[in-house]
Amino acid sequence: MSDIRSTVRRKNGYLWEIPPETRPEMRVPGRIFADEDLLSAAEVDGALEQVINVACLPGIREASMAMPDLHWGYGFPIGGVAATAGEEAVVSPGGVGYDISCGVRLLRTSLRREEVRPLLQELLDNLAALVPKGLGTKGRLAFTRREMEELMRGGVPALLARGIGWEEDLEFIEDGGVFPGADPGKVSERAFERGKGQVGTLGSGNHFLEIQWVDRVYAPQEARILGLEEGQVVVMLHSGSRGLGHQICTDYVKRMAQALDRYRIILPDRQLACAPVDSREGEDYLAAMACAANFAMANREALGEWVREGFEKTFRCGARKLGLTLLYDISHNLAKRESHLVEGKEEDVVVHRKGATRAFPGSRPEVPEPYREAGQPVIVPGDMGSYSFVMVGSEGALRLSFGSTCHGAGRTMSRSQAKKKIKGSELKRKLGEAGILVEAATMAGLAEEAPEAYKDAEKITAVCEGAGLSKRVARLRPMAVLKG
Amino acid sequence: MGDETHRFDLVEHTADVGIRAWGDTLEEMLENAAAAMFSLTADIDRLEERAEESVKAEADTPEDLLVGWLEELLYLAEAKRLALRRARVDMLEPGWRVRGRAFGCGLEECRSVLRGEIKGVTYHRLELAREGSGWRCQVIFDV
Repeated sequence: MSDIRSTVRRKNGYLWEIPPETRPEMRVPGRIFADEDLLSAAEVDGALEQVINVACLPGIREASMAMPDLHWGYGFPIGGVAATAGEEAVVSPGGVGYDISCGVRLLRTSLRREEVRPLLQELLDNLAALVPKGLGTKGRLAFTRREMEELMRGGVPALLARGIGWEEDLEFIEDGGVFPGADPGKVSERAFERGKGQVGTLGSGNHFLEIQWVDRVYAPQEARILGLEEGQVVVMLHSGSRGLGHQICTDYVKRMAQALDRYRIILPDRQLACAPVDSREGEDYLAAMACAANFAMANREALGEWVREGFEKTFRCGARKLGLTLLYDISHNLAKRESHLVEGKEEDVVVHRKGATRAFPGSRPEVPEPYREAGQPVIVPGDMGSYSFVMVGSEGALRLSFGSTCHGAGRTMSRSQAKKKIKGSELKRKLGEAGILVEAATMAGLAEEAPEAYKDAEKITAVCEGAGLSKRVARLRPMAVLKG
Repeated sequence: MGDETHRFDLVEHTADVGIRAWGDTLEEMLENAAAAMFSLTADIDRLEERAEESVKAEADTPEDLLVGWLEELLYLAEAKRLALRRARVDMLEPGWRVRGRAFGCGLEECRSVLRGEIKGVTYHRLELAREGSGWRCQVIFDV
């Protein structure tokens, strides 16, 4: 892959470009937001080649982009952003991923770190009992086929109608908790079967729930607007559309791969399978993807409800009194229809963000009104041993990356490497010594998610800020971790 | 079932996980690829075979058959709430059609040996080739 590295040119401090002449099939350049270390890591792991492959997609505008947490994925790199437009524009299920609308949610509390510390173990035990986690756990909610259809079409409001979640959360969920254009008729019976029992379940892999505290504020004004202050306890959770989304991606990658010849699309990697946005396949996928997005948001709303229950039980006090309000809920795996300036002209594009977060400035109408002075919150989970971050979007992101920034720390070590190097039980003990309590579905799963397996979120977010994509508001430290 | 029949290993991949599997015949390779996939979701050496399900897959090419077979097993496990430990190919027909059975245990009965979930079977770096007189494949999963 050294041949790729030799073509990468530094545009400025944190922006690197792979010229479109690197491969004849490239339609646009590759653009990577990174420092030297992050770029070298991406080069070793094959992610740069994936940036080039995405640059070959029909209808791609400006560049195939990669955020600083870039790493090797399948098809698209993780941290990849691609906007398509015009007659040729395609949508690619692989540019969204199997976990459609996987995302993060951050809840505030009015509790201070010292108030939570003495009850932390009890709180973690209560949450562990309330939040289904790991492989094949049954959700606490049963849905009939019709109820599932309502949820897929209606998103979070459909869950509220069952008495779960808070009405006032809606304003602080991306898209108000309802992704437009959902049509359950485009979702297979199998996807429905896989997802129906999984509303309000965490899942496994890198999904988690963490009790954290704000240990540093970088931008006091923005922090005030977002309702964050030093020493405050917050709760972060990370989950997605579970089996429903996994099956929708599976179904549509297959269907689009079969239709490639018909649309005369030639691709360097089959996992990039795509179809024109306005074709039958493209429209059906977007309608099914919207169902998964609605499911994912409702899943996180239900998980948020279990968190509120856990706090109520532990502190013997109502969740409202404990200040368990929603700061924000946002996805990092989606394809969205948005309007952006492309070469000086406003254009309707489909922005694929695969392991990348929308990062709009306050000037965009999509940003909740109370946050307009600060910008849209971007929640960046780091590893369980160090930090996570709250950032806000910026005008820079609109100019540079179709309004996108990083989504996390990004892995640096494979899961099997991590398991070889680190024992889950030892990690649990070590974290315990550092004052971080851990409850995990499996010890091997815990080892796979060890802090050493991840890049440093501190560095990633610093690069995002340096590149002008998003601004750091606060740093969060874990106190207790519930691992899926 | 002895472990000598499970000819597979795991492949390093930054965020996801891959498997390599071998077989003297295509049937055997499909069985070993299935066992490799099952080993990611549970400790298959400690899993009992208390349930049996039939499985079918069909495709235009052997690569697609491999992906389709694994997807089918993945779906079956999730929909029937099973941890699978072994799959057997009963019949491989021309035109890349396979019929078989999968064996495992209800999820609630084997919680202690479960590992992680697999989200999907990808086409990324998918390999299927003849090796000597047998077959070899590589598959990357999204986990």
